[in-house]
Amino acid sequence: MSQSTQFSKRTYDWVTIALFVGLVIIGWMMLYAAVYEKDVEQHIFSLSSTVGSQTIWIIISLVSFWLVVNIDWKMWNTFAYPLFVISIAMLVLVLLMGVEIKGARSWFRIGSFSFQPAEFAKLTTTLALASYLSYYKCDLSKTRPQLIALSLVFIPILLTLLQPDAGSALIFTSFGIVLYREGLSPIYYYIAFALAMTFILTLIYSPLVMIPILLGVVAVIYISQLSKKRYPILILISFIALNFFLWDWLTPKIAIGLDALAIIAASVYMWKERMRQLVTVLLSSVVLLSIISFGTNYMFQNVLKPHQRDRINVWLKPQECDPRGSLYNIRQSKTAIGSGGLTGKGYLSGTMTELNHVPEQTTDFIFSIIGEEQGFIGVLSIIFLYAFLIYRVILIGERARNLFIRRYAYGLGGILFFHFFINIGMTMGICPVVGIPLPFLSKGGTALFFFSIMLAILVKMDYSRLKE
Amino acid sequence: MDRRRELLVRVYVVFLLFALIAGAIAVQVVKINIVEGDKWRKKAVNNLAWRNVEAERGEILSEDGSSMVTSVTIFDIYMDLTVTSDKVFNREIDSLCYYLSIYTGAGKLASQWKSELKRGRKAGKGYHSIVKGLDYMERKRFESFPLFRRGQMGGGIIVDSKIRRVKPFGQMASRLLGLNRKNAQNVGIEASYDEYLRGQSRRELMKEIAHGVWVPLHDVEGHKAKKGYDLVTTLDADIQDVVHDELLEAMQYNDADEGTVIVMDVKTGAIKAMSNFNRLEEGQYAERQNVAVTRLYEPGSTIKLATVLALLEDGAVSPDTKVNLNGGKQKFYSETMFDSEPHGMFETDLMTAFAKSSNVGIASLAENHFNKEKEGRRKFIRYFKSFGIGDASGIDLDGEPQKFLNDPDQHATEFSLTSVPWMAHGYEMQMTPLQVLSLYNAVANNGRMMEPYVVSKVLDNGEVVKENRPKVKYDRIASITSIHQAQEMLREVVTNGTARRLNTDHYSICGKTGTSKDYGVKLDGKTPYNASFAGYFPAENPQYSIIVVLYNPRKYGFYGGSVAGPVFRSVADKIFALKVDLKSEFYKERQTNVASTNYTKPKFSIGFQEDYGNILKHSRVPVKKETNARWAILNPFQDELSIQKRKIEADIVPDVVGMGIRDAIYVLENLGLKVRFDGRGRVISQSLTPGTTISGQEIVIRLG
Repeated sequence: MSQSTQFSKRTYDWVTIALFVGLVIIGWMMLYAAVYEKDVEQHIFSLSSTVGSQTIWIIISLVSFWLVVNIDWKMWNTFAYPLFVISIAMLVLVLLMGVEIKGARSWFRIGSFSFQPAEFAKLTTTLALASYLSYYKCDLSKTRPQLIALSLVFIPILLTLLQPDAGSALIFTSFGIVLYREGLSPIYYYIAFALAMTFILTLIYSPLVMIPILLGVVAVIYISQLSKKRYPILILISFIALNFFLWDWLTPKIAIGLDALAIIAASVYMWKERMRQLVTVLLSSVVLLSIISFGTNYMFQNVLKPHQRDRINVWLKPQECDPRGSLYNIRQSKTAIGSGGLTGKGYLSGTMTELNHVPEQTTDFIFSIIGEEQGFIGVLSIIFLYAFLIYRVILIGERARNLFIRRYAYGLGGILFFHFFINIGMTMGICPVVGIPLPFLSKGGTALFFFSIMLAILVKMDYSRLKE
Repeated sequence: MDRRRELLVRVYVVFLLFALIAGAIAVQVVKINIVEGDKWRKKAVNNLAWRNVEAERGEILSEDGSSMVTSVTIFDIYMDLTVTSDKVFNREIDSLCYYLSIYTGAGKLASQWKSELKRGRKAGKGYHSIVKGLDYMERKRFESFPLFRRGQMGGGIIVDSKIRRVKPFGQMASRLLGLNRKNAQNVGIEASYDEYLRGQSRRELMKEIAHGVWVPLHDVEGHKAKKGYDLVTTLDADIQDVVHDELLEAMQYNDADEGTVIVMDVKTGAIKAMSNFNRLEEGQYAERQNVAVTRLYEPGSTIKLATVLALLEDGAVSPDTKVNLNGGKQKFYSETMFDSEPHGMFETDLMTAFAKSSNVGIASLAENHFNKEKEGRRKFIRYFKSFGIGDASGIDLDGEPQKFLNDPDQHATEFSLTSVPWMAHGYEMQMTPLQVLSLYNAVANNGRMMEPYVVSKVLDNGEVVKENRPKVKYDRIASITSIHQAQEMLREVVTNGTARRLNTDHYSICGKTGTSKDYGVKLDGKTPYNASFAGYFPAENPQYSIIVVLYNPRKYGFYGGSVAGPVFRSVADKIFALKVDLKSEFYKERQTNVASTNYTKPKFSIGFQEDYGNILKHSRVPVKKETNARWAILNPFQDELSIQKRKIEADIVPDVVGMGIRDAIYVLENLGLKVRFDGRGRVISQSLTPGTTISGQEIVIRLG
């Protein structure tokens, strides 16, 4: 009797399914709006048209969703590693045999059918990582499991960077979330954060500004453990920091000489005062980060191609960019979103959209159509839908009894979240412009297909949870 | 347990991270959409709108393809002073201003331009008028200037195009051709064939650069709306020219209020020319109203043709039937009828009564035959209707008014005993000049009434989209015997009747004068007269039918024969002179030696060799032909003419001085030059020196 009650509770998470279907339908409508031109007939089922091919992909994706929901989810755990190996092989192959589109080898093309292995790798990496983390010998506080888990993530990152597809590479870093949730030491995140900030601040300002900032941070950490003995050090550090601002006045040679003297004096003093460990950590991090800062600057100026430089400048230094050049995309996208007002201009009535004034509006910048045609309310609704979907995904993970399911859910949630954040962020100028689609909404068959399958796997896992 | 707590903290951290970032995005949305919303809206959208862009309107061509109405696109250039970066602006502004000072024709120095543009830039002007009214070539030149060549986004050039409707022949037939206006009703062919002419307009996203000034956001050339179709009319530019001049002269001479001349091709009903004039002020006339098609009047004596046809058809009379004119005055019931022109005749035959245009004579015959009983009256009306009277002419133009024809059944109260005698000479009915002409044309065409038409073909880039074939309205309005008798009587009018002064030995005119009183109107206390003449020529093989109507001529009398008749004669003379086929028939019959008497030797001229050959052969002027080349020089020597070879070489500007305009344009355009011309007559000067190499330049030729 009790079993039958329990059995009747078994149900699919209809909320997630509804969110998925809703987003797909909204995506189709927005895509139609993006390519819509007045008085031009749209062939919604013709493969050659934008809307038509997306329609076909949506049908394929919905059917696949249904098929996956009818497969035992354990199969995914069993085949996690073989699938991962296949996807890695594909990522290698695409470097050799892929077609080059807009400077990147990211696609296989067979006839009119094209396929992006990176999308497939997102699924397989999620599965492989979830599978590995659920392995009973995996203890993330130990070095070996840490290395294995990190390499599962860094292999696809490296391969996608080689294409080069910075967007997909960035997405793979989202596995940091599941690793954190499963107990990876926060020190890695501090280091990553410090590195990221060094990169960003270096690029916004310059290495020379970076060094006083670093010294300032060091000083703050130092003050937090303040005792009288340390005042002289503080004064020396302040002197060095000040020196950088007087750089021009003192002429570089004198400034560097003074700094060197001050640093040596500080080091000797600290050494004498037996603060050896603190000195080592602080000095080495200052030196290391300064080197990284200069290295970043050098890389940026000499290794990156102009269009890559432009993208970073657009993100970090928009005020210095040519509004009709590199800043154009963002400006147009912002104009579209900003001009929508509270309720938007109405479906199919967006002037910017109609004009094709926003570049890549069917793919990366589809969010701007919503901004323009549905306005503030539409934009917030979409953000809410995504937040709600990600919340459901994490919720499913947390309520699962099986650790594989939880880890899978966190992996998927992280991927969805990064897509959502970076894509929407870049249409509004708070993230760098990297080619990342908005899940379920943007044009692009492969992405839609694999997102559908990933979500279907999760829905099936959740369906099975009460049975266990 | 501690580890468990730590993991729980991690869950919260993850959720917090998600929440923070989602929050950051929401904040950015608020920032863009609400805080900066005004800025973004202003930036691109407020001044955008979907607007209808008219397609280029089709041309209206004469029968032989010369353009009677055409569209000329003119361009205005504005400059958005805000788009260019400082670097580019400062680098190129000097050279731009240099060109502007030379080519705008504004008479401003480069330095003036520069300070003006700099001031505008400082003020953030999004549009600044640079120059207006450019043609296409000039526009292209401006687009090649520094800064401007960077386009709308890069250099701030904004090109606005306007389409202007131009009639190369000026006032000629302008009312018939019509007007295409933005804020008023269209008229004429422009209106009637608007659906073909206008093409497919297109919705385009436009930007308002100044109040009421909209420019397309894309290059105007980018999306071309489908151009309108061209119309080929039946109008003959030469005849139209003649008609225009003759009518205008007569209008001025007679000081008439309104006037019209219509020339119709007898066999087809095609309108060859149609002129209308309205009197504006003393001595000033303009094509204002389409009198020919829309002006209703009581036609008067010209309708006696219908009465006679009815009598003939009914077997009541023959041309020899005796009739008493009673000295030109007779009482019918309560009303007394007078003949317009005094003649003092009593007993005569119908032929003479008709030729003298005796109201009394024709009315008496109609009275005796049709007005004795109701059935007779009905029959009389039926005859009139079978001649197309009281019916729309069916011309392919809008605005034909409701016609009126008195009728005992339909207008019982208005129909009285006097109706038949008065209708017999053209009263109690309302007709348009075109409708009267239709009847005369039918008689000329041996009884077959054609529907008049003015547009023969609708062309889409030279392909025929629609063709108006001649349409028969009534296959035979009367028996051939009656028609022949009527034709003889119309001839008699010219040989011995009221239109004697029109008679000429060169060809034979048939026709009928009309002098009617405009009873409904009183001008200066007098009832105005309308003088008209309707007829056709040549009598033996009618080619053209013509009607001339002058309303209220007030200077030299009002008789159809003396006011309208001369116009007819002049027009007919000139048509006869223009049309070689008419003449050849005439000269075949009379083998007189035209060229032997005296002639003026042709002047030195250049033209098409074959034309010279034909003309000189026809006029039998001895000529020495030295070439068979297409283009030739006609060179008058001491005692003979010679046609010499004229060389036109590819890629070298030829000397076209001395050529007619058509030949000159033909030659020059074929060589790839853009031709602009000025004046009338023969070429007197050309802007490019003969011998210059051609590379698509523009050449201006002056005629005089």
